Amino acid sequence: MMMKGHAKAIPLVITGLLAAMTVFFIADILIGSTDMSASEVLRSLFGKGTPQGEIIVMQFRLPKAITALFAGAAMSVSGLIMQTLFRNPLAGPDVLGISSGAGLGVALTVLAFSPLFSFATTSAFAGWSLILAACAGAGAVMMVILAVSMRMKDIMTVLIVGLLLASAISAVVSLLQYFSNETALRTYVIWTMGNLGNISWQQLRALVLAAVAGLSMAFMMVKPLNAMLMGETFSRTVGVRMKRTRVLLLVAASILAGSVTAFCGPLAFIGVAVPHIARLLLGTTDHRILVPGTAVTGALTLLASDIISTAPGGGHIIPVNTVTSLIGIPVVLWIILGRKGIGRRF
Amino acid sequence: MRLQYLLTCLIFLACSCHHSADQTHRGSLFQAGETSRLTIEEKTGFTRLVIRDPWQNAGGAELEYYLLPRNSEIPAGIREEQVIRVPVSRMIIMSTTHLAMLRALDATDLLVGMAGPQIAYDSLIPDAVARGIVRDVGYEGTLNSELIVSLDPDVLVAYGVTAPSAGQLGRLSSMGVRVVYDADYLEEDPLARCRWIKLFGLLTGKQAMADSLFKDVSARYDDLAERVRNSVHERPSVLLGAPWEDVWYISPSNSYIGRLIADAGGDYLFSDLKENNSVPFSVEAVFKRAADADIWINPGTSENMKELAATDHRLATLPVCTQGEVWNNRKRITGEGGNDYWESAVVRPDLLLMDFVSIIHPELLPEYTPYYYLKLE
Amino acid sequence: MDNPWQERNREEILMDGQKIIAETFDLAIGYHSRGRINTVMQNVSLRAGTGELVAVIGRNGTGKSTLLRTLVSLQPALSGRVEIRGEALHRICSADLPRTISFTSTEPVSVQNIRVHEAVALGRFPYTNWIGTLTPEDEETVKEAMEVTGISSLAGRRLDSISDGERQRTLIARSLAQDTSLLVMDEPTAFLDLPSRYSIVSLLRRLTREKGKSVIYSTHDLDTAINEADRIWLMTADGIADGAPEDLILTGTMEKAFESPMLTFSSTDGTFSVVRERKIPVALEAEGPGAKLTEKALYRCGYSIDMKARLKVKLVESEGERLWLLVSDTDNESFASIHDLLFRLSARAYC
Repeated sequence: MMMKGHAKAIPLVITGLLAAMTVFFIADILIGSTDMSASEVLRSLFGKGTPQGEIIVMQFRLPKAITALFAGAAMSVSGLIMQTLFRNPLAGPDVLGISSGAGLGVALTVLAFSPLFSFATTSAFAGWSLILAACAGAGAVMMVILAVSMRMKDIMTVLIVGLLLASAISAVVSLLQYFSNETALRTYVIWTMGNLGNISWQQLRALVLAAVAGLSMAFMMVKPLNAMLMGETFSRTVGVRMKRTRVLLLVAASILAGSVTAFCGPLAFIGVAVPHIARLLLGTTDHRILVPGTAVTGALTLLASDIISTAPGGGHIIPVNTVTSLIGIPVVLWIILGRKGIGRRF
Repeated sequence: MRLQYLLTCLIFLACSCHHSADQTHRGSLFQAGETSRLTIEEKTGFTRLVIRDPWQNAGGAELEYYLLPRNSEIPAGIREEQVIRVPVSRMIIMSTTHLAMLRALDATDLLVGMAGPQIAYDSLIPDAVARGIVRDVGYEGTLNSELIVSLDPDVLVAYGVTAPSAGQLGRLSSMGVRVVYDADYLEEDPLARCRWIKLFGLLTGKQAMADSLFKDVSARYDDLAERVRNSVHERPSVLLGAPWEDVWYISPSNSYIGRLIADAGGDYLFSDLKENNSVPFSVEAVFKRAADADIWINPGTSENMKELAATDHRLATLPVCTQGEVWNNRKRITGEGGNDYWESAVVRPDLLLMDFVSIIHPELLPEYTPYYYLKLE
Repeated sequence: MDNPWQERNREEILMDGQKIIAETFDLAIGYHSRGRINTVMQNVSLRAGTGELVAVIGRNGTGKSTLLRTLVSLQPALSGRVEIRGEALHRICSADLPRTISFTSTEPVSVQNIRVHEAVALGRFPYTNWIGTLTPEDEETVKEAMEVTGISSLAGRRLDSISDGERQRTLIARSLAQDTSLLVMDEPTAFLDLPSRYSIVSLLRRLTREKGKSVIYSTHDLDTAINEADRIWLMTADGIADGAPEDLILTGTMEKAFESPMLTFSSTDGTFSVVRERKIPVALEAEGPGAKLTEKALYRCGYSIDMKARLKVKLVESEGERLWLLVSDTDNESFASIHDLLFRLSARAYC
């Protein structure tokens, strides 16, 4: 067979990643800001614990762990799609301003239409309309970035445009804050800090559904994604319908990034760094393996970040964005400073 | 502007927990004078003011002012820049607390400018601003320096959140505007905070009124605190504050509000926490302790249970919520974001104490309805 | 622009049994830019026969890329039509087109981490299922493609770890794996060194001879095109000429196309050379392989061969050794190499 040793290692790596993800998921439930013995946690999971223990496990830890799992998977695959679509190893939802776009969608909904509903209500309607607003905002920014990247071949230009967009959107949001009333303002400022907790079960259902939908869409597109690795011209001449493919990829990436950003705020660096970690571990550029591989790696990375955020102990926490930045920034530096330049890592 | 107000409140909250390691419990007004940042020395012909640690992390820095009557000569050894001619006739203030102090001294006619007049609770302000008597001079960081200088104030009473050398206040000083830093919000003791009214008394020429006001308030406060100490056998546990998404900033026990709770006969849930600033906790950790809370005070800006549940649905399941003992300082508010709690309550800690006693030990004040606090339904 | 060679092209009589794989009829190629239409060329009528190696040559800016891209349907024709195997291009359904024509562009491959085997396997795209699984037949095709292009040993290597020539072969293998009867390539030999250029073109030739593929490729490399291609499409500012390389040379079309004050074209050699300024006459007496080369060297130095000249160069060969004699009115000198001969000539201010 043509395949060398590295290909044989892939199933092993995937199994390892899945195992790690499971371990981290369980650990994230067992480890929290308050002391609870493992047996107490398990009993609470099955409804046999103390009332308080049950509330802590079922209302705090379990939703957080599930959020971390799906948010990590969704953001990472969103970043993977963007990296292939824009042929840019530094592309990602936060870097290209797409998270900011989602934020703008949320801000407009919260600040402009706040009489209609309260941002933080746990009703299903509020959850879904938030997701829609966030996805629409994310999609709008992605369309702009896509248009720019099709005109400019230089990857640096696209990155700069993304950063400019993010700044511009921040400015617009500040303006909105200025003209809003106090309550809505307060809730928006809180949201921008990024967090995995405080998500109700109804909201979580919306997030999980959106994440699953986006991930499935991404997986259905692995064939054209692989073709796009060899360039747009090649893809077209080999039978890929570029317009349709670009739209579908844009929708998938927006759903993934938008739904996570709607409930967790902007999560830093997960989208940019994890695809590279996955590429490194799996040693392949084949999206058939990369899409699931990135999803699993993203899930376990965010779960690990959540666990680390409780590391100080005694109830003190490190914000999760700080942890993901500490993980993600070295990875980004490694990409930029790679031996043969940026292209080498892609 | 809203954002800055919000930031100001945040900082207020955070700074309200700033303290020195010395943890003197409630005592007489003499003690309050000793531990306070404001030192007043009466000399022949002038008064010397020393304000210690006028802003956060000042590291013991002291500001010296000399208050001289209008036509007297400046004594030797005193620089022109340190002199403030009293009584002043034109004053600019930067906080609604300063407004409350002026109001208590009946000296609000001296006001020519104010920072953030929109959030003043005092009803005379909107009218005064509309008629141009009191001008809006902006906020810290975005002060309208030109306007301030053109108003030619005799004194600008400021509060400094950060070191002034980098800020506009420093520049105003060098332009000849007399800036006095009011550090009342940094005091951890309720009476020490109130004592700053003496500063305003000196500036407005109403020292006697300020002194007697302070004496009365302190006496009432001390009497009530004494009464509580003697009659209370058990102390209900009290939870303070509200979370911001997944982080809950917990005030230490040696903070302004921690002391009020203790004086009102309550047992602060985090009485073991002795820090210089608020400490970020995860909601989960606080939740666990909060299960033991009997009373919840100051849950953010919620005015009813529905709003409270909206900030974090899990907290609504706490026993303190289901049994309905949640109180917030939202009774005296304006539509523009004004809250008298930040205004007159500083001058009337005795009223505030009565509110707390009425909440925590209602049996001690059966006829009394809280002035600043309302119960969340 | 009208095509003055149009008449001649139309007169080409089809031999019996010769099949045409690609043909254009009165094609106008160009592109839309900022609301205006830029016509690159009009009345283009060209043919490519089945199993032919067609080289598209022409100066920069004549529209080689535009023509190729129009041919493979990447760009719409402004007017006229293209037929592939007798069928109109726009009629071929989108599923069949990638199975009929493959295209390799000049776009540099930005993803370098992909392995050679994976890159070649991507050529099977039009045949695989929704997820891109390769059947044993697909694998076989890929394997064969790599064998033919001589890169089987590179299967597991990453694209950025192989040489430029090997990378080009990978792209050709990819086109082969696509199993199309027509392979179109835009400048496959760009940036390659001379031996690589030759080997690529000879590979293309083998594909037509041994695998029956038809190949249309554009190039700047006139030498290989003239020597290896079955047909040349010569693009000039006035139009396109279509014919065997030798026909285009004989009719002077080649020379006219590349005519410039700087260049002359030698019809006998089929090569270009730079126009030299001064022409000092020198007589040359030489035979064998050295003769041609000596003539070339003298010509480079600004000499022209004139048997009546007073200055004479004589090449003498004995026992495998060569000697150049310089005979003038005044003296005789002998040199062991052309370099030394020329050096002496320049010193003598004959240059």
